[in-house]
Amino acid sequence: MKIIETKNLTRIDLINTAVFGAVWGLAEISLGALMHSSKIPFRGTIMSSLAVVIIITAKALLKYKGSLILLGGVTAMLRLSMGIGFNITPFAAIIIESVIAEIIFDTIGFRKVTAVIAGAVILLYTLIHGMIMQVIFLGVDIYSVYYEIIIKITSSFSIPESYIIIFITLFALTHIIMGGVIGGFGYSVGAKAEELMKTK
Amino acid sequence: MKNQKIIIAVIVSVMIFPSYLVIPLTPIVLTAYYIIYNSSLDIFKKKSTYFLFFVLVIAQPLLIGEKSSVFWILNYNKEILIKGLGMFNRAIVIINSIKILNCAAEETSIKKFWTQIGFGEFENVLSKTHEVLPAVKKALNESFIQIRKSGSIWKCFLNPSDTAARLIVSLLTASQITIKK
Repeated sequence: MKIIETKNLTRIDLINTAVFGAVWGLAEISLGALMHSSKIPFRGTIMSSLAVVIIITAKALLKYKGSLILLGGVTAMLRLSMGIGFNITPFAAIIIESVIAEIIFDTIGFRKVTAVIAGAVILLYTLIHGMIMQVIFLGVDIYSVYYEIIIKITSSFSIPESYIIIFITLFALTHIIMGGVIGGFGYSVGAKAEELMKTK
Repeated sequence: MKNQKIIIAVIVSVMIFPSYLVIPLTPIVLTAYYIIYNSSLDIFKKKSTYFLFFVLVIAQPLLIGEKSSVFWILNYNKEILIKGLGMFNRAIVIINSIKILNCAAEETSIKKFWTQIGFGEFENVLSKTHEVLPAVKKALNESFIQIRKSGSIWKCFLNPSDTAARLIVSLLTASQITIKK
């Protein structure tokens, strides 16, 4: 069953995809492993921010359909084969982030606005990704556990429930804004790289 | 892999089954994995496993719901204890199953999967990625050293998109030359 077909790829397309795959893969292996072992908070957000820059810059130079999914697949495979231990969470995140970006750019085109949207959606997804993975591993019941624990804590400190909702909304908004800014940055990197490549 | 379908069935089963079935099933599955696949069970060496155990099996029944049972001086909710134990066991089984599936997955079958869904060039790109990886690594290191030596770190901070674009272009051109050779 063919979902997408990458056709007529030039040699330059193949090499450029490989280079972006190598850059993203190296970042995942070195920085990802370092963050995983040091247990830095928000490591998923940091890695996703880096992924957004790489994905959007790559799209400026890899114009063919399905390029980002291919890039994500290569990066995920590289992460798997480089022997840093199998961890399904970042593996799935890499593939899903590239699929999200590909769908956005494929349906509404590659422009600065879409780059901002893609960045925002990817970072928002990063926030939800952990929760999705927890459902896979622990079951839907984990949500009721979190809910009950939050209610217990808020009631014992007499914090209104609405504060928690405001906090969660602000947290999601921060991710969206951050994603948008990073997406815009990725677009300007891509545009400059494209310009430089033309002059070379 | 021989028992791939059985392992997938185990994953699906523990995801669907209620906690009171998952709890007795877990030691059976883990013992089978240990005997058949020599699964190391090193998940029990991780601190995060015990943290998960503490949250789901100890803290949860003590904090949540009406206290229905007593153990020594501790009042807890028995129903939530079973639910928490089920969640913990489900996670252990799924993590171990995925680990076994991953160890047994052959690179050729993964490549075949990508080709089947329409990415005919997957294998080609992957081999080229391995080919350019040392050159990319070297070029990245050299770029950072050059920036540090030239003392232009602040310049890079002030114009990050230009620095990143130049770095990407140098990597792309260097890799094109490497592959040509």
